[in-house]
Formats: sequence, structure tokens, C-alpha cells
Amino acid sequence: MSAPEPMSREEVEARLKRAGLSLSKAQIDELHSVSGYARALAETVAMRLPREAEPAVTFTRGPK
Amino acid sequence: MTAAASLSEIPTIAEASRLIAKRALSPVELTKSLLDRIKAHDGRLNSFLLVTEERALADARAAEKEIAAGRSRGTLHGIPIAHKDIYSTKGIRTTAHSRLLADHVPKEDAATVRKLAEAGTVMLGKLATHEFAMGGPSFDLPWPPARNPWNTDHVTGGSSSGTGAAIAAGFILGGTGSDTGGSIRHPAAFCGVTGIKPTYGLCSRVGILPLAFSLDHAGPLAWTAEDCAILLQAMAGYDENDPASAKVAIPDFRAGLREDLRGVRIGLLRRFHETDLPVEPEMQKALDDALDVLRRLGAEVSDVSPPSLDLYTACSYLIGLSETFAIHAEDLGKRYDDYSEMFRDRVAIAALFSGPDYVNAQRLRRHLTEEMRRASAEVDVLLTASAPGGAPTFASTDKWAMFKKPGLSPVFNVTGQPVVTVCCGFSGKGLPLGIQIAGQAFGDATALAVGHAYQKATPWRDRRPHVRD
Repeated sequence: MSAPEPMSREEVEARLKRAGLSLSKAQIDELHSVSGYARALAETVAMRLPREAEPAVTFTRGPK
Repeated sequence: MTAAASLSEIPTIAEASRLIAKRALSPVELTKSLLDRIKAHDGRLNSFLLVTEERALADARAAEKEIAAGRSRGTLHGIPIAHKDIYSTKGIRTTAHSRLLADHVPKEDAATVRKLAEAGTVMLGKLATHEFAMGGPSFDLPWPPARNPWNTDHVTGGSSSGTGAAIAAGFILGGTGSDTGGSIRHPAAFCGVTGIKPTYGLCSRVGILPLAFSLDHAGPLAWTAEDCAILLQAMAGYDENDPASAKVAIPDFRAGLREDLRGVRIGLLRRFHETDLPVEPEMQKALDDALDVLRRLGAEVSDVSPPSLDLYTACSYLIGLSETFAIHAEDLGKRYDDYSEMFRDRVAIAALFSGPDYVNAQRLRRHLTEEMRRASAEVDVLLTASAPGGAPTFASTDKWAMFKKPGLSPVFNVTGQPVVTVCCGFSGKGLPLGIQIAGQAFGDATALAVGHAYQKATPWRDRRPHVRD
């Protein structure tokens, strides 16, 4: 199975930089080559749910 | 027991406990024998990162003295175990198999380490893991990866790799593991041992180095489901210092074991292992045979069809990688090359996600958990394969494989359900195959009971690997 279409090189570089990663060209090249997997995961979880669908991490505890 | 006992002489926890209680087995002799086995054989398996021989002998002598004085602490008193090296151990190096923590010596025990010590266990040392419970198997770390005792060219599965290997090799009678996407269940399946990923919140995570907060589960591995029940009894329980800890009554897991399954309703997750990730023919055959055994024991089997594995897997990876990145962001920014390539490159993928991606994954998680609950409302346990087949070779390890196909394990980290993995036979190459038995939330006792009944009705617990020098 071939990798999904990668993100643009510029977008990958910008996101890695924003996340605080300072990587070599070879490391950026490799992450760029598999960046389509990241996009595919994000698209999969962006399932159409009702507007009021809560995340699983909703805080439920009161003060101690 | 003689020094460097052969593997066939290694008892289960339940057997050793009975013998110790009758004064027919000395905890000190048992401990010495296992230490001798480790010295003789672990050079090929690398299951231990650190053997704590002095501590083990001190624990064993103390146990023997207390038992002789009529002060037995129970089933685990004098039983040799070891801990995955992400479990903090007071005054004892805890590395997460990582260069970053090569000299890290915790000031406190993890809550579960303390509970197991209070139950009288003997600690033999610290066990190999994939780096920070995710990276490996990696060869660019200060310690080599654990190897599979059934065939050392093959991986153990991870990340509780040392625990699975050490139990299969007869170095310990049980040990601790953690499971964020299958890390107890993979080594249990690939090494032919038994493991339980308990319900999320059943065992405290305090003092265990985190991988992904909302997916991390602590739990035991051992040779049998009965032994896992014994270990889980000591590990489970509410901990006010763990914000995810569940305030629930803890059942007597061992008392709940049974040898027939009359009235037990099993939901077969057929779509997972036949459609979403078709397993190898010999795994399918082993699964079909296991179902026949379970039916003969009295269980009723019906198909259950939750949403696809793709959805559960994507949800798990997006949440898990994002949480891991958050934990390691500063070190990844400053010391990227000090991590193994496996760990750093996989985790770096999370830098490509956005905040809304993470929130969407958590919204989907609630939806998928509810869908699983709805689909399985009429059954007691769910059944599917642990992996498509036996353990792959080191040579076939692919850094990006996790993104190319869905996984059979992460689904239950998303839902938080308990899962017991047991051996269901062997591949043509002699490698163990495993099945997952998932209970309803806090139905850990039922999942263990089904695993125990299956093990009593099948011959797989009689077979051990040929461990050589």
C-alpha cells in the first residue's frame, strides 16, 4: 500500500518549526514523505458528529 | 528446587504459592534458581536491563523468615517477579530503556510496585521495554532489545518486551507491564504467555512513566490467567493520587475463575479479524478452534459488529501520539538525536496535527466507546485475534508499519475495556498465536474467567520454548 499524498513541504516545515523541532534536511525529508499518514488520521477523526458531541476528556470532578 | 532449574521445573505462581505454604518450596532457593537461569540464558534474550540480585535475595530471605514465623502475607509472599523499566523503583535505576533517563534513580516506588512489595513479592530486577513504552525494537539505544525465547530472530512484541520474554523463558513467575495500544497484549501473544490490560482506572498509574495519559493502562503478565488474577488482585484499587483512578469495589479475581462457561455469552468481533485486518490462515484456524473449545465449555457465541478498526485505530493514534508529543516536546526540541530513531520519528508525526484534530479524536472516542457498548450490550465478553499471526522477525520491522494498516489492539485502549490475551496455539514455525478476550468495563473478572477456562481445556500451557545459552 503506497503512502497517502504528503502535505506540502512548506506546511510540514512550518508545523515542525511551530512544534519546536529543529531537524536536519534528511529528517524533514523523511517526515515529509510520510506526512500523508498524519493528514489521513486527522481526516478520519474529523467524522461528522453532532455539534454538541462532547470529547471523551470532559472534566467531571468537583473541588476536593 | 536445584540451582538453574530447567524450564519444565518452573512453577506457576499458584503452584509455587501452594508449595511455599506447605514448606515444600523455599523462596530463597526458588529465587537463587531463577537468578541462575537469568545468568545462564539472558545473554541471548536481553530481557533484563538490571538484575537486582542483592535486593532479590534480601526479599526472599525476609519472606522465608516471615512465613516460617507464621506471618504469611498471602499468595504472593515469596514469589519472584520483576518490573517493566517504566515503573519507578525507589533507589533503583529506572530508565524507560532510554538514553535520556540512563541515570535516573527515583525517590519513590510506583504505587503498584509498592503494593506488590507489600504483598510479599521478591523483586528480581528491571525489564526491557520499547523506549518510553513505544519506540522499539531499537538497536540504537544503550541496551539491546529483548528477543523472543521461541525464536531469537523474532521480536517479542512490545512494549512490555522484557516481561513477556522473561516469563516465557522462566526467569520470573510474573511481572508488570503497561498497555497504551497493545503493549501488554502483544508480548503476551508473541511470547506465548498471558496478560491482562485491566479496565482503565483499575490500577494506579502513579509512579509509572507516562506514554499517553488517557490511554495508559498498568497490568500484569504471567504464565496463566490464574496467575494474572493473583497479580491483579494486588495491583488493583483506588488511588487518590491518580486522577483517572476508579473508585470501584475490587472483586476476588481468583475466586471468580471457573472451568466451565455455561451461560457465558461471547461476542465474536468477526469483522475486525476477517474484514478490517484479515489474519493469516493459521491464525484464523486457531481462532476457529478456540471458538469450538469455548462452545464445548458451554459458551454461546454470536457475532458483534461495532464500527471499523480504522476508526478506532485512527482515534487511538491521534490521541496517543499527541499526548506523547506533549510529554516529550521539550526534550525532542533539544535532544532529538538522543532518542531512538523509532521513537522520535513516530512521535514527531504528532507535530503535524492541530489542536482541533486532537479534540475531534476525543469527540470520536466518546462516540466509538458508546457504539462498542451498544454493539456488545447482549454479550459478556468479546473475542478477536491479538495479531494477524505470530511474531515477525527483527529484519521485517518497519518504522511506519503502524500507519499502513489498522491494529487489532488499540481499539480497547480507546474504549478502556479490560482484555485478557491468551495463547491459542502455534504457527507452522512454532511461534505462539494469541487471542484477545475483552470484558465489559470493570468486567475484568469475567474476562479472566473465560481465559482460565480456555487454558484448562487446552494443552497450550504445557508447551515451553527451548531456551539455550
